[in-house]
Order: sequence, then C-alpha cells, then structure tokens
Amino acid sequence: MKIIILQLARLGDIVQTLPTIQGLKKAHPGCEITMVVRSTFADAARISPHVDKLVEFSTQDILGPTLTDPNGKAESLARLIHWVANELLTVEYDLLLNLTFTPASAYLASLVRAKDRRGVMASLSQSGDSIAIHDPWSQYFFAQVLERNLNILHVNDIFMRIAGVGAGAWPLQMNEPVLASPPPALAPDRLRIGIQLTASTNDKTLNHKVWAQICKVILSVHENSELIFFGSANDADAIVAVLTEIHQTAPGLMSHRFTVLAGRVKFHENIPWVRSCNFVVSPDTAMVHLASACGTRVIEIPLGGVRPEETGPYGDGHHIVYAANADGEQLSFEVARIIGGEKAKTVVAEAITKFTPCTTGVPRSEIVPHNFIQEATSNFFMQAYYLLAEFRCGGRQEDIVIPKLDDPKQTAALDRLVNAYDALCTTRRLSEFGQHHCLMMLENPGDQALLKDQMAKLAEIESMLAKLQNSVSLVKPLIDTWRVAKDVAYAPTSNGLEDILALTEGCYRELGQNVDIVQQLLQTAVEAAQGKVKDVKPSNSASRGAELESI
Amino acid sequence: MAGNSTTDLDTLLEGIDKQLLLKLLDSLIAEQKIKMAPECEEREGR
Repeated sequence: MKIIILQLARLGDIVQTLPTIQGLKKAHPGCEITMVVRSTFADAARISPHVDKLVEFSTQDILGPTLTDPNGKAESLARLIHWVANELLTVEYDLLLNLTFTPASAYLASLVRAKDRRGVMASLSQSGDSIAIHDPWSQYFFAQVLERNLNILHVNDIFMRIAGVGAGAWPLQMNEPVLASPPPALAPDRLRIGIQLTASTNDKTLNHKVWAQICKVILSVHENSELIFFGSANDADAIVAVLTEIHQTAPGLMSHRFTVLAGRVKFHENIPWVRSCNFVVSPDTAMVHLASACGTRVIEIPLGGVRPEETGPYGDGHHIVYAANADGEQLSFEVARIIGGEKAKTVVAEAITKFTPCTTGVPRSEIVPHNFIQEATSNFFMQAYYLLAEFRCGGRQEDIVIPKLDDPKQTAALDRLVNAYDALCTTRRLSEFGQHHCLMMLENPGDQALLKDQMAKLAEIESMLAKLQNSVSLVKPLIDTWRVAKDVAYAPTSNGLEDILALTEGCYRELGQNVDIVQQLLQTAVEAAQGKVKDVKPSNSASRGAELESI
Repeated sequence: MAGNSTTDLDTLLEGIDKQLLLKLLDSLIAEQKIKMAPECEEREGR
C-alpha cells in the first residue's frame, strides 16, 4: 500500500501529523509512506522513523525566480513542472491525505494520482474553480478548526480520524539523533527546565520582561534548577534581552545555571535535550508538540488567540496556564508552583491535559479545567458538537458526560442558552424550508418559472442562515458544517441541476438532523439540571445512543 | 537545479493537468506575496 501525505504547513503542524503516520504504519503493516513538506521545516519530519520517503518543496529554489524577477515566472513554472513530475507523479498512490488545508495544497493534491483522497481538493471547470472536501472529518476540520468554532478535538486527533487510524499512534516513536554534544546527565536532585521564548508571531508570546521574571522566579524558588533556552538562531536577540534583564535585576542568579541551545542544533536534534528536561515552558509552538512527543511535561502559556484544546500539549498531565488574567509576578509564581508539584490554588487559571481512550480505542487528548469553572452554555455546546462530530463523521457514540446546566450564578450563560435555543429552532425551520424548495424543483425540473421562484427562495434561506452564522456563535458550527457540505454539492464535478439539487436537499436534511441531535442533548442536559435525571454518566450512553439512532 | 535540466518539459508535462499546474503556481506565489506562506509567518525553529 502506498500512502502520500501533504503537510505544507509549519514545524508544529508536521509534528502533529506524525502520530497519524505512525497509526497508518500500525494499521497497514508494510505500507510505504511518502511525506511532502516544505524544505524549511523538513527537520520536523525527520523525527519519525515511519516516513519512508521525504519529498521537500523548496520555496526558494522553485519560486525564487518569480519572487525576485517579474519575468521569472516561466522559469519558476519549469522548475515546478520538474519537481511535480519527478517527485510526485512517478507513483500512483492508494491513499492521499492532504492535511494542509490551503488552496495551494488543494491544487497539488489534485495533481497527484491516488485512488482514495482525503482532505482539501481542487476542482476546475469552465465556470470557475472551487475547493471541495468530500470526507467528513476533513469537512469537520475545515468547518470547525479553520473557522475557529467550538472545537475541542486536538489537531492530532482530527488528523488521525481523517486517516481512519488511532490505535498505536501514541506514544510517538522517534529517531534518536546522534549529537556531538549530548546533554550532560542530570543529578537526581537537580531540575532542568526548558524555555521556549519566542513564537511564530510576537502576539503569541510574552514580552522579554515577563519572561525574565518567570526565569528569575524559577531559579529563585527552585535553587537546584537550571534553564535550557531552546529556539533557532533567529531567537538570539530575544534570549539576550531576557538574559540582560535578569542580569540587571538579579546579578549572579544565572551564574552557571543556563544553557543556550538555540541556533546550535537542528529542530529534531533538540530531542535528547528536551527529554532531559523536567518541564518545558513555552507559548503555543512546535516545541510544545516536540516535548509532548518526548514525554516531557509542558507548561504552555497560550496567548494571541491560540486554542490549546486544538494545538496545545498532547497527552497526560501537561499544564495550560492562562496568562490573560494574571500579572507577570502571579504568572511566574504559578509556573514555579507547577514545577514544584504543588497543588495549592492560585489566581491564575490553569487546566491540565488528560489522555482519554475513546470507546473504539481511538485516542483523544482533552483539557480539564483545574481551578476554574467554564461558562456552562459554551461548555455544553463544545461537548455537544464533539459528540455530534463523532456520531456524524465516525459513526461513534462516545461515553462522555453531558455537562449540566445548573449553575445558578451563571445568569449570562442562561441568557446565551435561550438565545442559542431560539437560533437552533430557527435553523431547524430554515432547513425544512430548504429541503422543501429543493424537492419542489426536483419534482418539476422542466418548469423554468418555478425553478426561478424556488431558487430565489433558496437564496433567501441561505442569506438568513448566513445572518445566524454571523450573529449566534453557538449555532455557527452547525451552519459552517452545512456550508462546507453544500460547497461540495455545488462543485463542478456534480452532474447537472438535478444532481446539485439532490445533494443540496441532502445538506439541508443533514442540517436539520444535526439540530435535532444537539436539541436532544440539550434536553438531556436541562433535564439533568432539573433533577429529572440524577446524573448523566457514561452508563447512560446506551440510551443516549438509542435516542440518536431514533432521529 | 531542476529548471536547468535538459529533460524535455513537454515530455514531463504528459499526463499533467496544465490548468491545475498553473493554478498551483499562482496560489504558491500568492501565498508568498501576501505573506501567508508558512515561511513568511514562521521564523525558523518554531
């Protein structure tokens, strides 16, 4: 079996693809896996022993001529043709996974010959080109992750679900790099803490003064600790700024207690160093994924709108510290407290990751609030949409607790719930109207006047759904899912009006069914809150499954 | 570099959807020009 995986995003995305590759090897022993990555980030792919062939796309080599010379496009095209023909078209693959979700990757995916395709593909026609996603988990990724909806599934887990694997994907097996200077052995009474200061953009990390404060508090509270500064050569300025700040405010504190690894090793050569650390403290970066893979505890500080549920540390016992509601001092002592293994509650919101095998053995890494209570309505919808996705995309009914909606202090949550319930009802009605108008046209395909009238009504429904999509965030995931499915129906590969109408009718029908499922779950949660159901525990999943089946 | 190869481009192009190829090139260039490409957003080592 020949499998090709397109992952043209960054280091972190590549590391997050590796469990899927390992899962594919376990599921299809003897399969040959080709991975396509950008040269800049290829070191991340070298971590996995399961990548049989690594194909690198060099932006500089191929696009260089056109990026530096307005007349260079022909040369870039020639280079692109050589790369595609020589690297990608010599084999017909059994399975293609495009896990990149960009237009460029969609065009590339459509060029590669493969029997089974998952992820974003491009369709071209005289009426224009479009993006089409046919497999349900890729539709879920596109509609939920890219639209920043209420998704609680980690990207690792979504990728595995797209590939249809899971068992044996984790813990990650890694190639061990041979280093000229391996990390010195750590005495049992010493602590080694890895620090990743910078992120892909400045808004995703702390400023150097806060980082200096964190480092100082770690070194002061844990007198037996030392720091390792990870990163690339580009991080030199940031590291110097932090070291200077520490030196100026606490002279002597850093003496013989830090190592700067940034710029000295390639990305995959960090593995022995990361593994030698007791903790790695980092914003949302590839280092978080590398540390997770190494089994090193992570303390992630998510900033800049990143969602640790999706891209945070993966596996058991990692910490998420939300810096937004803390000042630098509080944050620093929280990090030091976690390193010390203390349990005391602090003012900083903290969550802990938990690895939960699902009913079918497919894993899921989730985030559990440690010292704060989530807003009840959002929490309900996040769990409900996860259940809906497993049911819709994977045919699974998972054993998770449906959150109760019974916190009398959360009055705003109740208002949101009422608002969302109204929107669900409206969405349900619109789906019925949409179905009705599609069926009318399917029954009268030759009646031009009727077609025109019904199409106008469909356009009106779409407009109303778009308004709901933009105004009620809690039903947006349902409408985004419907929109992605509808785009497939409208793709140029569809055969004529009747085909399009039948697929569109199916999309409206599915939208209505999805609303029904969410409403059923909502009813269960409300009944639980009213005391009609004593406790909604996994033991109820069978009856809940029956409810879903009956829809 | 591949572009300097003597291999006949016409031979390589056999069986390739040229329209898709051009779209691929345009989209790759567009990603770079509007700084959406991973290399533009990402600093080495992240």
